[in-house]
Amino acid sequence: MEHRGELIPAYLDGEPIGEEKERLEEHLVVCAQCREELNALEEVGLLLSEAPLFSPQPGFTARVMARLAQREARRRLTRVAPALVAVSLILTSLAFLSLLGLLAPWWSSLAAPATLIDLGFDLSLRFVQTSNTLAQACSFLLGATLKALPPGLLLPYSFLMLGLMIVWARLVIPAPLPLKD
Amino acid sequence: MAFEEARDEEESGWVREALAGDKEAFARLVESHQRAVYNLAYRMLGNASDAEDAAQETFLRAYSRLRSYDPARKFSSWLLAIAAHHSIDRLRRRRWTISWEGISLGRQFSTGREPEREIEQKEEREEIRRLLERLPPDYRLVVILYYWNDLSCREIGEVMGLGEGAVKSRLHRARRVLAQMLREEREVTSHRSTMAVGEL
Repeated sequence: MEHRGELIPAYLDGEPIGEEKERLEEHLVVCAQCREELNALEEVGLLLSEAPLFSPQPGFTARVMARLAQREARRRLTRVAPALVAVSLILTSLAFLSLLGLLAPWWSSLAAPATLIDLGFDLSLRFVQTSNTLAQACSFLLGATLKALPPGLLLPYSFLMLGLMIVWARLVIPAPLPLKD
Repeated sequence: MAFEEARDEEESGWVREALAGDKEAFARLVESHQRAVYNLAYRMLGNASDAEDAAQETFLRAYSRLRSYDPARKFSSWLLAIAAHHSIDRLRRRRWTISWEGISLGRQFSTGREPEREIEQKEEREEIRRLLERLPPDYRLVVILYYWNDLSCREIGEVMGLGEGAVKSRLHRARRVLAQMLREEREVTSHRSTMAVGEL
């Protein structure tokens, strides 16, 4: 017997299959296998078409709109970010320029290559000079800060610095190992 | 038909307004399509939290791609296509991560005091979920779009980028596989229940 299983889906969906329909129906009467297949497919269709449509929790639209607003805010920030980066680059390069000015005196000696010994001597000299310059710069900065502060603030300021130093010491310097006896 | 046309017209108005920057109009679009999108995501992914997230993401993507929407197409097919692709992407990614959902929330919520009707419904739902889970994602998608989103085979073809014939053959194959699985499952349970009776 020739099975007609390939026609069953179209038959189930009510598609026009013309005179094939009658032949299939005749076949179904005599063929238990095809009948069973039809029933099984029908059952699947029924099970699925009766299943409910799931709905999201209430407030879904509000949640979507909130996320949308969040995303747009982030996008706006990324649009501003290049400008922020540019500004900070300019500021840092300005700071570097002033540093270069500080170092300028011993730059010129680098331009004229001397012998190795000279270079070594020069290096140590330059080290001394640099530390000297740095010390001067530091004392200048400190002096300027102290001068800029109104006299009444000097005491609280030094206490603040002392406190910060203590905090720094506690956080950064590793605690000494406990002595064992 | 006239009703549908009127609705489509209203909808394309909302799309235009949303494109012009009207958030309210987009919110209306979300409101009217949330169930279709959420149900698709739920049936594809199998749990509520993934479905919620995927549905939200679908609308966010729709918003950012609104410019590429062709008004000649149906808005719902365009939206469902985004949802479908996103869900399938998620399933692909999921292969690399462990899902804790199934482990932690098993049958935690059935307290045993529910009315029989509710338990029955829940079991049926569970059964459908299990059956769908065993279908390959693109077959699952065809079944979901056909039965829950009420799309014709031609419209499903539009969503999935397939011809009508290919959709039909997938749908038929999927149904056949589902019927087979259903038969197997029923056999197992009836076998189990006869065993239980035998033990009594």
